[in-house]
Amino acid sequence: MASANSLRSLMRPSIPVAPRLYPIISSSFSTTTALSAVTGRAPKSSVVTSTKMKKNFKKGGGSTSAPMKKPNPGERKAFRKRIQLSNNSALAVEGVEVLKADTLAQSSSAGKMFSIPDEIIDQLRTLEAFKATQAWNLFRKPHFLARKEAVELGSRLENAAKKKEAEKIVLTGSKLSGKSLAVLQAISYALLNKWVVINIPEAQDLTNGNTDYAQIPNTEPAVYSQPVYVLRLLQTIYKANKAVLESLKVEKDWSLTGLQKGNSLAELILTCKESEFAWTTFNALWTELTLPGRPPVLFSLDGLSHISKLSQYRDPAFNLIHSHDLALVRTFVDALSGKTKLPNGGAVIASTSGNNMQFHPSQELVLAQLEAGQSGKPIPTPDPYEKNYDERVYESLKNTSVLRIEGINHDDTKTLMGYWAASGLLRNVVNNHTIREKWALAGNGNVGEMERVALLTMRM
Amino acid sequence: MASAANAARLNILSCRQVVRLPRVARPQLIATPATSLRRTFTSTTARRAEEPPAPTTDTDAAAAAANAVDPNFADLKAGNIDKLQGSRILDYAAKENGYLDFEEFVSTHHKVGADAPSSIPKVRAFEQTLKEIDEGPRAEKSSFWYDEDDPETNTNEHDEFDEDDITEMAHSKLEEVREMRHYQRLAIWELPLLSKLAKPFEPPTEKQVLRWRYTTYMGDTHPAEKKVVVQFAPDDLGLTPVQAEKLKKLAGPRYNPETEFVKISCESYTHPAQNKRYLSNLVDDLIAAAKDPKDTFEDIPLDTRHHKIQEKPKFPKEWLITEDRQKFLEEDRRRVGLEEYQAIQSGELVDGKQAINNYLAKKMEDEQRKLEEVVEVPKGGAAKPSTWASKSGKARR
Repeated sequence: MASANSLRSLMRPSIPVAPRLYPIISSSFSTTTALSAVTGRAPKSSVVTSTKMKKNFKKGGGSTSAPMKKPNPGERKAFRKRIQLSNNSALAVEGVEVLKADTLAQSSSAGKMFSIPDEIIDQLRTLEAFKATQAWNLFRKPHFLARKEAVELGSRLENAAKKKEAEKIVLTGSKLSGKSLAVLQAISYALLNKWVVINIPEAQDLTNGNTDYAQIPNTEPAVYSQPVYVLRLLQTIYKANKAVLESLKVEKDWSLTGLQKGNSLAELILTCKESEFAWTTFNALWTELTLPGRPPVLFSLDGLSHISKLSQYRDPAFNLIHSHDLALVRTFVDALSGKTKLPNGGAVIASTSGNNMQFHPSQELVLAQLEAGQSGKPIPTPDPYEKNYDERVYESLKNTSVLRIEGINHDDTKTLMGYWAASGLLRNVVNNHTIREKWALAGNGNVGEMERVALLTMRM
Repeated sequence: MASAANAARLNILSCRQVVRLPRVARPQLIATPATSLRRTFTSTTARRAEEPPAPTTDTDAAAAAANAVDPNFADLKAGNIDKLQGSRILDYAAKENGYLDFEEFVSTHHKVGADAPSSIPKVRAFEQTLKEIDEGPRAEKSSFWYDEDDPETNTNEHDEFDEDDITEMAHSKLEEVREMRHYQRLAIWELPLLSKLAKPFEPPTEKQVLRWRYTTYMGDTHPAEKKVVVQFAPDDLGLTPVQAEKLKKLAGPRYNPETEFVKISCESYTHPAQNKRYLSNLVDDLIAAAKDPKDTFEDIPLDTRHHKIQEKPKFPKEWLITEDRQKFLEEDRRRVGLEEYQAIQSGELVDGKQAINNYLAKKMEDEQRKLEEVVEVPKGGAAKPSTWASKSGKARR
């Protein structure tokens, strides 16, 4: 019998089994065998199929008492991060101007409402310029108020493109004051003016250790790339700037990537299909974009303090890696500090985060000094006995200019609340009394707080 | 007061031996004078002495009494007033019972005991009184306050309250009131006199740069009594700015950057004067060190980490309503009011409720129009039945 069985292994199977064409996909970190995933299920025994048998005698049995479907992987995050840009129950507001290429650069548009044109809404959405915490889901169509600071920002971007210089701006301000919205306005200006936009919507995603990282070979001191994140970023850049990138031809020799001369930058991005080459591709793209004769570039980042501290990644010696040693962050920081010139003009905008703020003494100091210098006040000196100062952070930010965004004035409030009322969301007469009441309740016209007291009064 | 009787009783008890002695000794001295002397040391009660004495003649007794009294009086003369008082009480009791004094009672008692037995109840009553005085009121064993260990306690006193006094708490309250009045009297009459001792305040001169603090506990001994504190401002010492800065750096955490004062204390020595001497020397040394030009410490920043300045929220100056501000506000309000009035007149004022109502009205209008259009269509194509009707008709078949 034994010999017969051993011979059986040499027999051809009666049912042809498909050869294994693709590798078994399993987690690279798992130590369990991949076999269990491939083998078919064992036939159910009669004991197991008897469903009436009570198996679980746990008290209170949460899962057994109320059958509830567990959300799929990523489902909850998708729900948390979903952006809803329209509300059919809200009234459509008529007579609001549509944002044009030069609107934000004109001082006459300060204090007016503008609607975001449909052609850039998808781009903005791809770039994740809309935030889930903003109240876009209340209105029929996305509009924004071009406040004084937004117009200043727009005109500075225009100047930067004209002078072919990089405008380096740090947006600060209290919580809910509209810093992220100012970034969105800058991005809309850039998109309408056919700039190339690279946006990092959450800086903390880069440094909190949630994406994989790898040391870039032949770097001393070591620099680390984040392949998966950069691959996603490349795809975002491609989708958001497709039209512009397709019009730009490759100038340097990137034949290593299989790219031929005369191909567009869009194709350069498309050559990257796998995360291993993501950083190389991004580097190539960035090099190409900083060549003379390209359109201006807007490089923006939200949550500055997260890239000012030590990241959650570890080097081989198990020391924490400084955020500036992450390749993508370094690219941004070099652009922000002026180390990398933007010969075609453009802007590097870093926005601090009010709620998700990490206190960093160097950052606080340099921003305070810049602000004092701009307004002609006495410049604060560093504390000689503070030990947590970081020279790299100070150097990265000292060449920027600070744009502080705080509450809006009464006239802007009137415009904004007029829009809210016309949308049917504010069921009040927008008179002097209402305006000043909400303005005062919101801490001198903090827009986010004003939304809270005027629009989100029913939110629990 | 209820305790008066008790006091009397205690009084008697205190001179018990003295009272007994003459009472007991007198008849016995006549027979055996030597025994009375021995008796003073015995612990047995004196009642045994009441045993009928041996009959003697009157003259002998009188002579013996005269002899016996003398040493007793000598004892009184020595200053024992209590004994005299005890004999007085006995005399008083005897008077109440119809005798001239206790002496008379003793003499008549012996006569009566021999001749007239009819007067025995009277004698017995008096003896009962004497016994009561001697022993005190009888202990009531049924009383709540009766104590076996101390049977002589007067339980009546605790049991009965004659309703002739206020309570103890009220007494203490009254005492309190009296005390307060005492201090009020002091405050009114005595304290103003202190102003005679007042001296006008003299601000320290430029030479008095050190501010000393001593501690006294008004005569009480206290471990902190010896402590001396000195305070001075480095800027008042007449130093150059560099020297003053160096002094501040030398003072370290004893320098308060908010008040700009250096504060040093010392309690190392036993006496305040010694501590003061030490501090004085220390300040001299500090100043000398600050003046030393060898190392000016200019490369070291002043360390103020030991002191955290707490910002106290103050009313902002910008919020003060000045005349200009008032004028501006009035102007602003007038302007805004005018704008609003114009907006109302021109119908530009946005009203959220109105917007919704307008929208709903418009929508209703549209629907109405649509409905009219729908109604018109069957009129036009009346020959052709609607699909729903034809289908239903088929279904019926």
